[in-house]
Amino acid sequence: MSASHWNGIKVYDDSNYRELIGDGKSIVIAGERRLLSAMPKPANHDSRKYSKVFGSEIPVIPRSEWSARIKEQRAIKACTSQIQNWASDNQGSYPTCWAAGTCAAFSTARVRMGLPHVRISAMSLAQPISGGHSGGYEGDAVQYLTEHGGVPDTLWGYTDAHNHDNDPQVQASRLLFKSLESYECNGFDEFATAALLGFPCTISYNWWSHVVMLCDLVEIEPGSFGFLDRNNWGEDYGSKNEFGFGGYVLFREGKGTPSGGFAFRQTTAYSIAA
Amino acid sequence: MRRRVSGLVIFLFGLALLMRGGVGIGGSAPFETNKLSVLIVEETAQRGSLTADQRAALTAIGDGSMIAAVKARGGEYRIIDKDQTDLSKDVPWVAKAFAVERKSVPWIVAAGPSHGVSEPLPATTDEILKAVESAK
Repeated sequence: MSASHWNGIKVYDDSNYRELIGDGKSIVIAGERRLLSAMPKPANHDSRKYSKVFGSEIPVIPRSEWSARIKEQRAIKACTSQIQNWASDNQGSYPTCWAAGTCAAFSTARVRMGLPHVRISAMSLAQPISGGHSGGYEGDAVQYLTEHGGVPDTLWGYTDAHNHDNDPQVQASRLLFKSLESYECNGFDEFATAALLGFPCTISYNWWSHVVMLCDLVEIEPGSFGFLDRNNWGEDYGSKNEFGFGGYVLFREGKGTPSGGFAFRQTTAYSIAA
Repeated sequence: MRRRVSGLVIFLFGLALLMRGGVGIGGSAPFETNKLSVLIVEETAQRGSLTADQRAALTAIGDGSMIAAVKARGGEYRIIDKDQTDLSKDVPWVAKAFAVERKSVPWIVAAGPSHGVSEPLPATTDEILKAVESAK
């Protein structure tokens, strides 16, 4: 019988994923309606304009090595969830998960480089791309971060759907927060490799119509793996990490295999001088 | 004969050091900074081929890690891809450290106000920590 929990965190899989679907378009969590609005990759979308193919540059780590690597990664606190010493992103009641999960992964990639954490406003991507009131595809958010950059939520409110791109300060800020390199990943093993190498990922689940951030590869029970993801539904959702910050949800391989997504490899280097 | 062999060994060792490049442990600070500053330059696409300890230096924050050691001394660190072209918007030491000559990647450049090191990123955590420790 498969384990229902890992380290006290509930495991979602084929047996219980429907608890997360709501009516297919939204779900009420702690009294707040959360819109499920991620769209699959459009047929004519060319992600080579802004990202590389993961498998073309990075060999997949063999499954035979995963168990030992996971134990080692966790013991030395190298997992992505173990460095996230900040509250989770919160998209509110807007259909912007495709931008929110992407911003969360991008912000974490900066921290991986040794830069300070800066929360990038999901609306700073969603508003110029599609007005801020529409669902979307995470690749569009990655492309916008690559070509234009994002804006800190101190300058553009995280859920502020007004257009602020007329503000010269906003335009200047975008240049400081750009993705320089990212990989498009495909399949559980590529995302697992990205997690083991410390590359934060934005990922989509078509069955959920939702985009979140992929943090860690975990071994739920011997030989059965899953992904610890971080949702964009604020601190009251999901499980807490070692710092006490929330938003984490665990999926077993299968339902936990992303439908698509991108690993952030390098961002622009900008920090506030000490 | 013994002198010739010793001389040859010393010569070859020196040549190897020159070819490896860099500033050895205990040398002068390779760039200007007023506190412990550590830069690791990598080719991110090759992260999978690093040793486990090298990868840990880039990603781990637990006790005994390079990142923990730097933070314990009030220092800063960066992990930057070799193809970064603009570091002008980061704190000044980063661009200075990135400009220090490198012969290969991954490479570590660490400095304190007076001493530092610039060398290929060592293969083990002990050696990496020694390199960081030498920057003061």
